[in-house]
Amino acid sequence: MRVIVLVKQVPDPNLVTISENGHLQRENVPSMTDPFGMMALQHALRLKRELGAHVTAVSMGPMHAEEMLRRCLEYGADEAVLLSDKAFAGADTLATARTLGCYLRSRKFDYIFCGMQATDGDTAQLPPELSAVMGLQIYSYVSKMELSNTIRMTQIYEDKSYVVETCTPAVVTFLRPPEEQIPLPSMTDFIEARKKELTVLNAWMVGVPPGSMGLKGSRTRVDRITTVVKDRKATEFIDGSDSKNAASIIMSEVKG
Amino acid sequence: MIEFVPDVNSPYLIDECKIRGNADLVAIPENESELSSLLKDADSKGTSVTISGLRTGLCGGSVPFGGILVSMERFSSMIGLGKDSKGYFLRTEPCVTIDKIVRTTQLKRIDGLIDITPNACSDFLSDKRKYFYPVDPTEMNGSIGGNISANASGARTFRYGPTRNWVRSIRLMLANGTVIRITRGEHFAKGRHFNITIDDTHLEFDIPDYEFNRSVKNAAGLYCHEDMDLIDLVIGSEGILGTIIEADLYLTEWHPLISNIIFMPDDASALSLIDSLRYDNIVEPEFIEYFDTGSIDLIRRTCITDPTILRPPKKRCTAVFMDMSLDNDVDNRFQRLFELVRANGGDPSDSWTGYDQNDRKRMFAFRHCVPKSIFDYVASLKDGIPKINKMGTDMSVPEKHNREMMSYYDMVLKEAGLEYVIFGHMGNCHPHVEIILKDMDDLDKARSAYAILAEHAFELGGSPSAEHGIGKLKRDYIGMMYGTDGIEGIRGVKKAFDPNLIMNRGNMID
Repeated sequence: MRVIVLVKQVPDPNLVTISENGHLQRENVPSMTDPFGMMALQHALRLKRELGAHVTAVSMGPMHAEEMLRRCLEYGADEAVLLSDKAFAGADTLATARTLGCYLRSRKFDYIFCGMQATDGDTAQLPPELSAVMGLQIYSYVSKMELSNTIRMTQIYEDKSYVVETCTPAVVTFLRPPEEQIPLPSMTDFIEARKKELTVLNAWMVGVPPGSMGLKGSRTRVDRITTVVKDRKATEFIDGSDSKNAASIIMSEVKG
Repeated sequence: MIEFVPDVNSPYLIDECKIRGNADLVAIPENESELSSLLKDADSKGTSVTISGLRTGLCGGSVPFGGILVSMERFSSMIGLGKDSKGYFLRTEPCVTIDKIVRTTQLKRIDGLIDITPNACSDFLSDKRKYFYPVDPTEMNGSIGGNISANASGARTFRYGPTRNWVRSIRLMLANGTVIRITRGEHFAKGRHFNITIDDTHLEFDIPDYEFNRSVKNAAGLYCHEDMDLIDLVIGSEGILGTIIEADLYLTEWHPLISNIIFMPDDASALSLIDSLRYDNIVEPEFIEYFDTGSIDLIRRTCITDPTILRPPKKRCTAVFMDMSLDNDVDNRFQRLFELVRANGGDPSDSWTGYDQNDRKRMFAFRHCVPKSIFDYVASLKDGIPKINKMGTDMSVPEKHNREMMSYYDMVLKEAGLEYVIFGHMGNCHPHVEIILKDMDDLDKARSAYAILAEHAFELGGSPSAEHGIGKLKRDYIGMMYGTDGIEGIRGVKKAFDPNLIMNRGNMID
């Protein structure tokens, strides 16, 4: 079994702040592997541990994303591939999906594992766009993966959950990590990971058509960023000295 | 200014050691002028005033026993940035948390800060190097005022020293409401005598005649030595000399680190690994922390209810937690570390390593899980046994006596029939022994055992309070260490600053 895991380097979401004009303030914020992508990696490593799967971590991003991919190798991925080129810069989710799709068509795999979204963009668009670009089945919002003769996944859609038997090849997006924690890499994993392969490919090597990548290939244009202020009623204080009366006022408000 | 009469369960009457006090009034001043009027009034009436920050202390220093409790919570702003010959410094009010200081400096988010020296803010922003405040007192939600008052230290004291080393200047409000600025390098004792005038305030007094032990981590009593700097007398003085209303803190250059938690087969092998690591000039550890097998068992139990905590290996083990530089020498450092781990009976693959923010945060949460589990446990006992409090040691000894002290902990506590775990700053020969109390009977046994242990640490040339301070909980040890003359010496200094003895009564001395 071969599993591709898509990972993304993002600024630490706990340290990013939003400026008054609505822009993310990323300066000096340390980077990290997107937590949802990390969950996908942990599920892939579970398949490696229990079924001997071969795991490849793939990312599209600037050269410093190599550091994150190296960490994926330390965690146990067998190889890592970084798609990095100035021509990829400014890509929206569609251009990213086309670029990744172009590369992934050259790979053999059973599953492409992703986080349900990344914490910097929060769009959750990339995995479905990738499945459309590649013509693959997609299992979204997976909370749990059960391994028996087949691989069953529990998908959560709002208040309903569906347990499905998966067919391959497919794209899977995860919203939770595996129940059993994948341990942090050991000191020997850190040293051993340096011997593993980390490939960097540019636009020409990937073979992406020039018009479909980066800013040029993007269909999204950010016109402006505004803060949405929800219209909510002013807080009303209810005298609680008579609890029954207070409860009936609250109930009448709730019932409308 | 907000003022109210606290009810008996008020959070203003308790700190993290869980002793509960009482006060006639809680006052929350908004600014210096309100604080000054309040103190003047209290001073004229001889009313006792206890100053509290964010109440994360472990010795009851901010817990009042009568009088007015003044919460400094509104003094929570960063003021500015400056630079002198020792580097950048941050000027801040006392109730800023260590976490906020760390984030502000790490992210260089200094909007709103003023230049204390010309162009300091713009120079700091354009400087490509990163800076940080290096004292890591474990509790990052504590206030800097509290940290200075207790001379807080922590794991990184191993490399960077305690809070004292990083304080450039303090603005201190005296009991009569006047304010003096004490800057390092400006006011010194002649021998053991101070005779100085600062901002129209004249202070003349002798420092205590005891020798403050500077050879180990030590936060017991007023720091003093011949020809000392006045600022060092205020740092660690537990609020008995005045109220810190502003402080300047030096920053230092940041460098990338890799954290490692190494699981060793038993306590003895972990301790011998620590001995071989302490001065290793290839590994060059930034700090060395220890967890005995009991601590690891405690973490295992916590993992059941908190799945975010990293799960230790299933086999019985102990652990050593250390940071080292992540630089071009990292391969050599690891090679040497592997040799030392193997030589002491361990396996380098039984370990965790991490260098990105998230992984390191998880490793520090693992470390913090031990004291946090104990705090939560004691808090859970408090409903049924209101008089119970946390009993954890804070003793340091000279390195040559470290193993002897470790054996002594085992002997005394086992004889007393108490359950305990040992963890903490073994790099500085300063572990914490947390006694797991079940009832008041255990508390009595623990108090007796604690006294025996403290006396032994002192006899070995160590300190019964290495970093938490004395507060109200450990006052007896001041008498044990310095005798009646020592206590009178401290009182003499206090009288020079606070003639009516109103400030933080009961801290350090009666």
